[in-house]
Amino acid sequence: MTERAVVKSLETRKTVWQVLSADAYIKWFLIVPLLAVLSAFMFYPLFYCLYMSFHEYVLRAPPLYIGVENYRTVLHDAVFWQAVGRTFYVLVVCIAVELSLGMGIALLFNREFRGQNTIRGVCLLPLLISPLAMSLMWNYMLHVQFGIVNQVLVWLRLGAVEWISNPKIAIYSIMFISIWQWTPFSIFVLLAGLRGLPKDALEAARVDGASRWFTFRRLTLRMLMPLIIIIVLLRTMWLIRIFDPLYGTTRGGVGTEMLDWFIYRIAFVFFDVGKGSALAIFSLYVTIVLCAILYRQLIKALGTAR
Amino acid sequence: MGKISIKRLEWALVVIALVVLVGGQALGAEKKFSLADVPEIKNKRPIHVTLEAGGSADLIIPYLQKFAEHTGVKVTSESMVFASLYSKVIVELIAKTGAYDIVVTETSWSNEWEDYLYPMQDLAKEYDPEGVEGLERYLAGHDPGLLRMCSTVDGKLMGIPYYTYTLIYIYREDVFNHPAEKANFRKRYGYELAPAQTWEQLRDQGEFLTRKKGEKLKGEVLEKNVYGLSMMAGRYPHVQDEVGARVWSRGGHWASPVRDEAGKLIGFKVTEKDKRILQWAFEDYVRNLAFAPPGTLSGYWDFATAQFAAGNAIIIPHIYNSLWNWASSVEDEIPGAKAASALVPGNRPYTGAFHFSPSRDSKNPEAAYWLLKYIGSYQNQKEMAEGGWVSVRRDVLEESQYTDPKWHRQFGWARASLDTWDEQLEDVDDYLHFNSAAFGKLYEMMTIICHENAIQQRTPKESVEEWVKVFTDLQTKHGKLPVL
Repeated sequence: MTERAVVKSLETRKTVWQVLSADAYIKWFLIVPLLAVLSAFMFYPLFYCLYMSFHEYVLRAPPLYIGVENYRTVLHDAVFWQAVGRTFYVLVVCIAVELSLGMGIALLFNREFRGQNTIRGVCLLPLLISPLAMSLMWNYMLHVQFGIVNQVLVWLRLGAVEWISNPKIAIYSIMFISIWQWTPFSIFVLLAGLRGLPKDALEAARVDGASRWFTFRRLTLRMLMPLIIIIVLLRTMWLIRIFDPLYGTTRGGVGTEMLDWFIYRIAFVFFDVGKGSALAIFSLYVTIVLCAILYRQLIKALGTAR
Repeated sequence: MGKISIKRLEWALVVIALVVLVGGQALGAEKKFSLADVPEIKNKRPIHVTLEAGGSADLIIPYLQKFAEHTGVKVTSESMVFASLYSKVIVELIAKTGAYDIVVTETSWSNEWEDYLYPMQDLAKEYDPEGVEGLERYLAGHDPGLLRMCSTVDGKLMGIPYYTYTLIYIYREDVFNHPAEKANFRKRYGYELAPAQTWEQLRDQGEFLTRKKGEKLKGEVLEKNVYGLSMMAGRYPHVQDEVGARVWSRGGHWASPVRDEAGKLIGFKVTEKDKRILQWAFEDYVRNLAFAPPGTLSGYWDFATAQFAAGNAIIIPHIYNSLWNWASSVEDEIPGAKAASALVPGNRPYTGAFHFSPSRDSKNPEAAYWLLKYIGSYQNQKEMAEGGWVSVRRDVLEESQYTDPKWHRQFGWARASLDTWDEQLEDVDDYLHFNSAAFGKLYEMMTIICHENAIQQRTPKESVEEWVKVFTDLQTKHGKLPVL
């Protein structure tokens, strides 16, 4: 090899770091650890769950391949459809109430007043409490005889209410517990949105004589739409999996069994792993479809809000 | 001289008689096993024990420490609530993690967990110098019915019972004995007000004792509503026990055992008779709910007991004897109140017990065996019972001293429980609970069906149909014996 060739060779030979940090490779270099973690903790359980959903497996014997039998059983199960129906009912009511209350309170908070920091801090508290502890706390507070809520109602001569034990009321008590905990989430997301709104647009509307209602409807609400969709998106994901408010109160009784409790019961009480997996995959599928729809709305809203 | 000799002879006879009497008693009395009898344990690996949290289960912890001090084997424990006990333990057992050396087993899980537990007889052969015969002698003070419940269909004892929760009937004796109440009851129903022996009588009592604020009880105007019956209709296992007490009392079964000519169990069948009795039980249960306090539809044992203890209810018709201590605190809460116990109407309620069972994955089955014997021993159970523990040993509960009124708050439940065990003994072998290897799962489904019947989500007839359907499905999937 000539001296010139050796120099050229040395110039072209790159260190490992130079190779990895090259534009073509750096993205892979950075993403591989994440992919590894996701593979181990997300994709593997997900595909294993999918695999199990095509098997009969009740722990006593090795899994037995049964095709789509678990899905067929699930789709013909009236209890399952009742649970799905209740879940969606709770989902719609909770999100509607949380958004309405959240928006109202965020608008009130979006002004200067004495003690504002303390009041905002107190409003944040429900979010900081463990959901399970909170469901137990409400179970005691809503107790028909010894609970503080009924004690107050009786004192006001309004009579005691069977909040948790009346089949017609219990589902609303579950909704109330969830709304009580999660409304602050809507409040603070929307408050952050309100604080970030461009003042010039609102000022221009005011100068042009637009009413407060018109300004709110046509400007504020539209500009907040991406945040509202994010709240709906996240709450949809969380409410499909609603579990804790049931655990501390009715345990799925009194006509309150919802999808996630049903899955828990099949998978972790009956240890019917195959059917439980099929249910989990169904729940995931529904969540993905709903979230995909909402995500598309979010992208659209972002485009409009710009 | 002659007189002296006769006197000496008399004394000699008295002394001989005393020696024979005392010596004979000493020879005849069986020596009770105690901690001092636990031999040197060669395997010193620590053992880990599950405990059921709540109630008086914490009382057991000091005894685990005593065992550790005596044997040099470290004992650690983990408490979990009953609702999560089954799910947590079964996963560890099936996965063979060896997480627990001793597990708490409910009597109805004995068959289901058979493959994961050591039969006591096997451990006795291996580690007990007195062998299986020694174990049998030790078990003589236990109740044979409870021991059957802790055993498999084949008679393998899967642990030693240490705590019972037999259903008993607890009532306000002061109300039952009040002259005006007695007279009014007799006038209205034509018989005496006394602990109900039939379900019809219970319904009468529920109706009679349910009073509104402003009405009178024991001649005094009530400042709040009072209810005849306190029940546990929430979606917890207890509602199943309440309905089951009715089913068994009428000679019905959740599913009848089917045996071959040799008497061997070969499967189960929900017979037409079972269906009829089940439907009646569901109907009767709903009828009684009319006399229970608001909140009953989501309540379980704590609710039912609290109602009684606070004076809101006069009878808890089927409540676990382990709750006697709490229920009898009504005597502290309500002036003049007196609690008493009797058998549940029909005399066939659930007779449950927890037994400690040695896990097959234990690293130290030797220590596990001796700890079980120690916890279930006479001396230990006696000490614990005097401190408020619900002992499973007949020889402790039958001691005459505990009938003395001074032991009322600790042992007021004992006679009713012993009588229930006696009544049940001949039937235990036929109950689905103690024969199906799918019972952990069946229990959950029974709970749901009984609760949904109570909230009238299904009619009693539909509840029976649902039970037959899910029983067939679960027993086929999880059980070892077929549905015939």
